[in-house]
Amino acid sequence: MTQWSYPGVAETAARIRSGRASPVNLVEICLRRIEALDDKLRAWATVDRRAALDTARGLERELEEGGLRSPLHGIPVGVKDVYYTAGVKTSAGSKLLEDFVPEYSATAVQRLESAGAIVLGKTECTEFAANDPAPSRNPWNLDHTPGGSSSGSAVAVAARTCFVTLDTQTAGDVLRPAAYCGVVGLKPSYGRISRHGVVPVAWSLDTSGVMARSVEDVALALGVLAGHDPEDQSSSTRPVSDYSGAVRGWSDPPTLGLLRRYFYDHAGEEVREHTDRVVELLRSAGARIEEVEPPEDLGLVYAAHRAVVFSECAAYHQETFRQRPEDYGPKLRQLIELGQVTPAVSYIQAQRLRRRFGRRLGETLRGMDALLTPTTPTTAPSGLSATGDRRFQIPWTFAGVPAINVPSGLDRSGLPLGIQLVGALFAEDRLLATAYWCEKALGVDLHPPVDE
Amino acid sequence: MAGATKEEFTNVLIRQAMALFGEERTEELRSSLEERAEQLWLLDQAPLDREDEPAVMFFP
Repeated sequence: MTQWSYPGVAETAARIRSGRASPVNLVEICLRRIEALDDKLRAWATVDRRAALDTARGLERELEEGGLRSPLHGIPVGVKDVYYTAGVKTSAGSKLLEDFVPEYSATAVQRLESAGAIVLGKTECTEFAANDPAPSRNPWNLDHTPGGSSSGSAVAVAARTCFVTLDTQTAGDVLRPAAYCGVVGLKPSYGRISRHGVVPVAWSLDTSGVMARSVEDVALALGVLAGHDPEDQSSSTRPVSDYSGAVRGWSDPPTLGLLRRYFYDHAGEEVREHTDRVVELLRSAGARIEEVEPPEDLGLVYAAHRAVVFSECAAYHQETFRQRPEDYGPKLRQLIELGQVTPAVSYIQAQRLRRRFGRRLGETLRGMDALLTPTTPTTAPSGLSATGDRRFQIPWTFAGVPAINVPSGLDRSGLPLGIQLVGALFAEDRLLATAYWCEKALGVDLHPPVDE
Repeated sequence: MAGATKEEFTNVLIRQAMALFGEERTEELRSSLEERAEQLWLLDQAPLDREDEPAVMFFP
């Protein structure tokens, strides 16, 4: 099989610019790796080899004529199978959509393609991005979950079968799989990336996000994806920052707020000890870290989030669920049923709490570059019938603020650990710069043993 | 359901489930319904101010 040193998007883009790397060759390498690895990893739902190679050839011709669309020009990427892709099957992990071929592509996919990224195909996800697992396996240990719902994306990036993936988060669907598989995962602010053409879970929570191997790569991808989309009612009109410029330009050690309460109450011993070591390491590198209290009872926030997800998910599936209940997996079926019996008053109270939590969280973040927590209570749990505990990621999705997983090491059994950094609403530039600083201070570069 | 107890929340959810899904399915869902009821009761206890408006489909 093709071994690959995998330099990352920024370095590969520089090689493409200077003619030392070719988009066609990059696609061929990724396709060979998918062919060699995907029978065991099951990261990819659909791979469109011919289209990827044709696109790569076209982009190579553009380069020869002096055209360079963006830093993603010629970079192979994957797209979670909830994003509409024109002419390519989009099944969202569901039997109900097994033959669905959209006539148009989601805005975020169009932005990637316009920027010159090469979509290799669609990555596996849990059924309708909810709780019934995808077939994907964790590249660090095949008997452990890769997390979800963006299961295949995390595996695809970790196994170096593509550079970047386009994903979604409604609870912990980007950060948890990113942490379990040892890659960087960013959930930006709600409304930062368009979700037009995305199969929804819960409209008021669904947030488009990305995964890649480094903070810099994630910043480059966000730079291409962020921006207002009139087709998406929830799309923000706030100006887009220069994210990769912010990452490269940052040098001062950050000020971080460490959240122990709630997170240490629910984390395993190894995760607590690891996070304390990370904090000491970052402090010794110059970061100012003070412990802060959660601005709200996070158990209550969790309960409120569940009320919103269950209700909105039940509303979206109402008609189809009535017609074809047998085509739903057991976990999604239960989620919809529980949503159907959730009182309207509880839904509204949850949304009221949500607004207050967001306001208080903004106050907590004042004067801080980011909050720091472990990303997950444990490393990837064994077994493939569930996708792990989402409670550490839920508060930030609920508040709509950006959060990122930065890989921070391996546990005693060789599974990835990560820290979660949480930024202020629409302060992705500051969050990414902080994450980049932490990434450099930690000096962790994880390679799963898939090539052995 | 302001001021309702956990048990009252459970009873409401179970009655709803019986009406929508029937007795057999409600029994299968019983532990999940009880868990949901506890969460909804917790939410009902949240000391919200009158000024706290919902963030329904909040558009930044």
